[in-house]
Amino acid sequence: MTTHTRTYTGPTLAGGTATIVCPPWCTVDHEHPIEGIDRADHADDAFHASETIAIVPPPDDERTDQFSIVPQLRAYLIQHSVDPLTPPYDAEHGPGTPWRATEKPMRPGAGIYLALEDAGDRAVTLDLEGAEQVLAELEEYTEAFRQMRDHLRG
Amino acid sequence: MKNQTFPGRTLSGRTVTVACPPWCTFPHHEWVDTWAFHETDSAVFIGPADHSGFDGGKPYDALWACVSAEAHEDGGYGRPYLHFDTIGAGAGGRLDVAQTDALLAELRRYTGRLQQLRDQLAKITTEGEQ
Repeated sequence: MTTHTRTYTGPTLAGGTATIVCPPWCTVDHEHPIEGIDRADHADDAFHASETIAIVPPPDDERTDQFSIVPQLRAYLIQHSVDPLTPPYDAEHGPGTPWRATEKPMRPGAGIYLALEDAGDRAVTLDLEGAEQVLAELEEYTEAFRQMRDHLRG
Repeated sequence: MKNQTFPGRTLSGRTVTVACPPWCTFPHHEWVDTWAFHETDSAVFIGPADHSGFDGGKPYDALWACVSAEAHEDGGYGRPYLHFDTIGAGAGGRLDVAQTDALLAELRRYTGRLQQLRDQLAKITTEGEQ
């Protein structure tokens, strides 16, 4: 993660102006948070976000012409600018439930956004426990994958 | 893993006895006419459920893999490959050893970076640190 520190001065929800300090890992341009939309973040209702991680499958020589091999499980850390401690949750289902990141408006809190498919239509925001469950399942999958790799030598 | 043989019907209508590779777990006896592939059990990463309501909120198999090889009419089989699929994207295909190693390294790299995001989240939520 990057280590530079940035500040952002922008409008508040109440019509004033405020300055926030981005965490060192934040990569968001708060003045232009959404590509193509000319609207700066509210300083008191913004989300910091880390760079995106993803699994990028190798090109498939046989099927590249027909299928694009796209990054999988895109994920990044998000943190609300003034209220990072409210756990993100699903607005419809209440606190303690996984939160659909595609819901608007975004709710305060901090978590790890995880896209479960390329379109991003099915995505959740993980709390600590959710992140640990995903890590455990990934390690299980990777171990099974490693064992399969050994069969290819024969 | 079991080492199985089975009588299979070929595309040309003959019946031959096929010896499976030691890693094959495919239930050929249930698919008398379509024994064209040997396969291992699959590895699946499903991930957390969401509330989209599709299929009860159960996610797709986000990452899927098995080892596969084509069965030949002479009872032999082709070079094994890793069949990798990502059902969410509808993409995937046949990976050779080098491609499989690349993806294995990618999986490990991703897991390490997700662990870093988890650790940073722990600092924010339990220590109040940004």
